[in-house]
Order: sequence, then C-alpha cells, then structure tokens
Amino acid sequence: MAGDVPVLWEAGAPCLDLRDIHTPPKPLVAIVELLERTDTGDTVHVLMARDPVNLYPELVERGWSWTKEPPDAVGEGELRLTLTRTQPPPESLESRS
Amino acid sequence: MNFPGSILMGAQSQLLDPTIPYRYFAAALFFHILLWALIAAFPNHVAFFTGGPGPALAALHSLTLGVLTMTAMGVSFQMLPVATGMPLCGATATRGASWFFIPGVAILVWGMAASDPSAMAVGGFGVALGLAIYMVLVAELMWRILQRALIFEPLSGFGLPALVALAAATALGLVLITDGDHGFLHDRAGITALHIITAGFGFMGMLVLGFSHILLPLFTLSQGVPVGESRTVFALAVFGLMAALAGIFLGTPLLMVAGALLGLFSVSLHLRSMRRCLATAMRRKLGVSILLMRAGWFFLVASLALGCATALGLSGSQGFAMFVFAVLFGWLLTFLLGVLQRILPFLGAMNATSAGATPPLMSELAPEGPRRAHALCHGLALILVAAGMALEAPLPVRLGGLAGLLGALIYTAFALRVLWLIRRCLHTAGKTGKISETTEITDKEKS
Repeated sequence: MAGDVPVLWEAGAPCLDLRDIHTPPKPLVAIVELLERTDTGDTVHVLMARDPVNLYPELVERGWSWTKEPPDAVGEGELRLTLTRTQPPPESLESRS
Repeated sequence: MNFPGSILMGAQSQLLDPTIPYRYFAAALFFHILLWALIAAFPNHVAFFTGGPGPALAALHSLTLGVLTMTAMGVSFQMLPVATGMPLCGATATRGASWFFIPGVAILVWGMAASDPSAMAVGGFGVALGLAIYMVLVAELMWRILQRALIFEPLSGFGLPALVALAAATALGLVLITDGDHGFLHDRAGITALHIITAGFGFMGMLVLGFSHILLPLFTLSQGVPVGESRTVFALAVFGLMAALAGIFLGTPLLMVAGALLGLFSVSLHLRSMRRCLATAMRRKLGVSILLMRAGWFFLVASLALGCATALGLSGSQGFAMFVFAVLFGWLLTFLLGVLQRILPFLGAMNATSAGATPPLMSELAPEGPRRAHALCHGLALILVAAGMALEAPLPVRLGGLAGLLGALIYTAFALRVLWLIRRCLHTAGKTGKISETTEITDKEKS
C-alpha cells in the first residue's frame, strides 16, 4: 500500500492506479510515499484520470523524471505516467526543507 | 503535448496563464507595502482610531482588499482547478475581474486616505464589480464540485458560505460608503461591525478553514482531514458566525458571546486536525513558514477571546480596535504570509514544469534567510503596533509600521526573486530547445 492505495506490479515495476481517486491530496501523497520508500526501484508506473500538475515539482525535488504515454496507449480520459529515477536515492526527506 | 482537451484534462486547462494569478499576487505585494507605509506615516490616526475615513481606514482596506482578498482571488483562480481537476468556466473573466478589482481597490484606498467620498464611491463600485465576477466564477466551479462529491467536500462546503458572506460584506461596504455621503443609517456602528464580521470571519475565515483542509495536507504531504471532522468544524463555524451576526444585529451581547464560543469550539477542532496533519506529514521541515502559521492560529484563538470580552464590555476603550487588529493582522495576515512563503515558490515550480522546464530546487527558490528576516520584522511590527494601539501611543505604532514596512520590502524582494528565477528557467529552456530531462512521447516520435 502507498497511502491508502494498493501497489500493483507491472513488468517488475510498481504501479499505482489512481484513476478513481479524486480527493486531493490522496493521489499526490500515495505517489510520493511510494517514491520515498527505500525498496522502490528506479521505475514506477502511475495511471491517472488527469494531468497531475502539482506532482511534477515534487518529482524534480526528488530526482525523478517522467514520461507521458501517448493517448492511444491508454484508455480514453486516462493518463499513464512512467516515472524514472535520475538521481541516486536521497538520504531522506527530512534533510530537505 | 497532444492530448485532446476533451478527453483528458491537461496542465493547460488546469493552470491558467501565469500572468493571471501573478497579477493578483503582484498587486498584493504593492498593497502590503502600502499598508505598513500608511501605518508608519500616520501613527496618530492608528493609535486613536475610532472609525471613519482617513489613513487608518485606508491601511485597513489596503490589508483586507489589497492583500487578503487579492491573494484569495489569485490562489482561488490558480489552485482550485489544480486541486479539483476542474477548470474555471471562463479564463477571460478572471482577467476581467482584475481589470475592475485592482484599480478599484487602489481608488477606494486613495479615497479613504484622502476622505474623498466620490473616489470611495467609484473605487467601491469597481471593487464590487470585480468581486461579483470572482464570486460567479468560483461559485460555479464549487457547485460542480458539490455535484460530483458524494460526501461533504471541504472546498465547496466552506467555500460556498464564504462566497455568500463575501456578497454580504460587499453589499454592507457599499451601504457604508453611501451612508458617508448621506448619513441615512441609524446604527452605523452596528452595520460596521456586521461588515467586519462577515468579511473577516465569514468570507476570509471560512475560506481559510476550507483551504487549510486541502492545501495544508497538499503542501506538507500528509493525509487529508477526515470528512467527519471537516463537517463538524464547518457546522460549528457556521452556527457560531450566525449567532454572532444575530447578536450584533439584535444588540444582544449574550448571542455574540455564544457565537464566539461556538467559534472557539470549531477552531479547537480545526487546530487538532491541523496538528495531526503536521504530525503525520512526510515533509516536516517547513522552516519559518510554519512558525508564522502557528502564530496566526494563536491570534485566531486570541481574537475570539477578545471578541467575547468586547461583547461583554470587558476590554476597555480600545477593545474593539484590538479585536479587529487581532483578526486581520494577527490571524489572517500572519497566516497568509506563512502560507505564501511556501505557495509562491511551489506555484512557480508548477508553472515551470507544466511549461516543460525544470525549475530550480525549492531550497534555491525559497531560501530560509529572507523568510526569517521577513517573519522577524512582521512579528516585531505586530507587537509594536498592538502595544501602541492598546496604550494609545503613536510612537510604538510608528516603529511597528517601520518594522512592518521593512518586512514587506524583504518579502517583496523574496517574491520577485522567485518570479525572476522561474522566468530565467523558462527562458533558458526555450532558448536551448532542450526543455528538460523530462520527455513527453508524442505520436510522431512513437511512429
């Protein structure tokens, strides 16, 4: 689980399906919680119902980049993000303001 | 990005053109400087303020309309679509609101400072028009949120009553301006008190409570406030507000006290929720911002206690003025500045990433030094001005005004630096053609 959301596995990488979770800040918290875990690998998949514009600054802070899959690769009204670690895991969030 | 807007709500539809929210923030920076400058320049008017036009009333409205409402408009237009995933129905109208509201506030404040009834009437009309557009836009969005939500939802739950209170406060404000010319009101003091309570606790208070239940967890990365708690805070706040307003309207001190007590119950529950959010947050080190927010919460409790004492006639000749100062400067301004220290860099970074650029790290965007200096000056200003008002002594008021002015200038420099860093990173990204390390796979690239 990340937040209240079950973590699925897809091609060896964790995947969060947040398409039905609309209440802020649950989707953001679930993603960041997963990224902050020490056992999370270098790739994470996320399925969402909308573009999470408030997530991207958090990814930059944590050294992750993101790729948006083209519309025909996912269902209508959905967004699929692949998050990739670009920096070694940080010491901890506590050290950042 | 080639996603059809009709299918997926993309960044473009959630984030307005940055010039829209930033024009409100820029205006708020100006009025923040102006309000402290007015206090520093006219300490006698503040220390012995008993109402009526003049520099003290101008400073007060520079704060309420120029800083608090101005920022609320910018934040609402920017953050509501982001937090809810629902766009505002008219982006052009958000610009239209600023065309009326920003010059309207400037003219109104000038009219109050110069005791010019015509300028106050023109300014008041512009303010009312700008606020009317804001209210329609936000109410329409909140109505859609309400229809989507199956359970109590804090943004619309607190937001819609806040907008009703704003409409009432605006109407009462216009009545007071008109009365200044014609003197038709039998109980001007009562109408003034209703105007202050509906604006301070009704509009700003409800908005702050509702936004706190969503935005604080968003910024601290913690789980939100449970629906049941949110609903209880809301119910107690609404009943408290209605009791206080009825007490003022009927001239019944006991009803006013009952309102303040219900408000205190509501606030104690709210603060318990906020404390839990902070305790379970993934982001703990919030720097001096959280200190300002906590100071704001302290003044919120203090203002309700002062409200009780004032209603019972126990707070002396300066009691009502101190109550207003505690609500507007102590609670709302202090809390807002604490939130803005976090929100401005975050919004900048959000705009940058949505435009495809990689923003500077938050530690670079929002260094702790200027934020501490600003908080120190603000705290000093509050203490000195409050002491000057309580003792009816102009010198501490002047010194407090100067400390506040210095703080406002530091804060403005901090905010402009954030803006400059974001503009630089957008410019660099556009110039080099390499937007960021982040890629967005388009259909063309895929093929």
